[in-house]
Amino acid sequence: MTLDIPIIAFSLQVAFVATGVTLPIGLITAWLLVRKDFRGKFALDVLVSLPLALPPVVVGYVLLWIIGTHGWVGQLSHWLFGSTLAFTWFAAVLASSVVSFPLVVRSFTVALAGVDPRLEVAAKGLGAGSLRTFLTVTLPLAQRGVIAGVLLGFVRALSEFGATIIVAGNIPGRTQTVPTAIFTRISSGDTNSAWRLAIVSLVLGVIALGVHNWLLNRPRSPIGSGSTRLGSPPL
Amino acid sequence: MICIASVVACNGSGKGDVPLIFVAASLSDVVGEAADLYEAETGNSVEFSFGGSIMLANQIAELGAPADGFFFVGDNPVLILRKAGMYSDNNSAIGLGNKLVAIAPSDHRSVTSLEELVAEAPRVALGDPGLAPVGIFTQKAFESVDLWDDVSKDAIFALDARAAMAAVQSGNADYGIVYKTDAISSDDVSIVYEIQESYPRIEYVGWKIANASQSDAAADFFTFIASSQKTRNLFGTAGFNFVSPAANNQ
Repeated sequence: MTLDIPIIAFSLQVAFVATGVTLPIGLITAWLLVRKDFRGKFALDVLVSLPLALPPVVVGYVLLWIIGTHGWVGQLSHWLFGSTLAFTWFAAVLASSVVSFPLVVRSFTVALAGVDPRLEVAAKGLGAGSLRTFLTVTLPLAQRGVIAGVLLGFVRALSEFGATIIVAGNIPGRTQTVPTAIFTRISSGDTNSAWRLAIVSLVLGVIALGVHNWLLNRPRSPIGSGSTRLGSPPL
Repeated sequence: MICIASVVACNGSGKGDVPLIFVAASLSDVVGEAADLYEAETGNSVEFSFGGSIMLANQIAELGAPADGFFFVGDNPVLILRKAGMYSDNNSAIGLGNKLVAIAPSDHRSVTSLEELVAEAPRVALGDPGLAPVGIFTQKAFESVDLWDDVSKDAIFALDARAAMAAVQSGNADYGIVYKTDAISSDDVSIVYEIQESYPRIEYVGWKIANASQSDAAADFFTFIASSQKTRNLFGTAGFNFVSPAANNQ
């Protein structure tokens, strides 16, 4: 039992950091996809969604070729630090971030799209800049959807297996997460300890999804939804 | 919150001076105990990653895994490291021997040949020859009596010898072909036949990875294993006999 705690703690750390990374990048990407039109928007949308459509082992293999000994990032880090970032906690965070990114962006896109753009226009009309508008008008109105997206990204990051095992390995004590540890235990016939960790995963998943669904299903306040009518009622 | 998580994550995983040794799955129990003895006597700890030797050798040589030492079985994994310039023959390396056996759940009767075993049309669990040398030895043994095609049709190809044994323990396979040392270590399976059909000599080689960051610490661990009477007894009781690493000369 005591051997489980470091693995669970490491998994949670990796998921927290991965979520911390995907939150700002995801918000910017979602905002671009919802509010802006530009050349290459279609390509960006496809690129962002790609990790969802690929087998996670492929995502992991691509990442390994970038940050491992053969890739340009790997060669750079070899030159700077004497070793690559593959098979480290950084690689585990990278794997989790990349696979959870599409889910996060999709949730954020829905959340931002539900904010009436006329409110943003009104705010800018009153003198607020783009950033201030985003932070003080858009984000608060989208907050439930954003939080739900963060939760979804977190639970996805926590449960990543294929990409993690390829680019971070499954090194006990260094890069072994809950999913990869469960795999090792199943493979070596250690069924009781495999079940222990599986139950931990189950509980974490149920809690996260429960909160996620509750956030999204609560009755919406009338302010900020696209159907609000602005201005005074017709005379 | 993010900053704290980042700092905590950094501190938690950068174990600077502990050597990381990649070890064949069949050695997992005995090497773990040897590491406990090593830590008790010297205060130094060692970290391990266990798996099929070929899979681990590829991780080190091709994928850049940060191993400081290795303890592999068979020619292929050592050759992979040699080609990558990470190992060259030397007399300080540790050599161990092992034997191949057929196992079945505990109450099974013995058999006297592979032919007898295959005639029962069983589901056999064995190591995947692409990942673990135990699979290669198994394949050679079956090929020497022309039974490989028959048995490989419905066989369970496992990641390593331990996974093959787990398949037998769980009842998913009728027989398993694993190392004698694996069979000895488990109470849930028994040896039904010590394979007499011919296969290459099974040899383990253990030594440091050249130019790894903690290779000296890894070498220190191997020297301890070879010289300490306690660890030599540990390996002997588990069924491994020490040999001089003749694999060096191949």
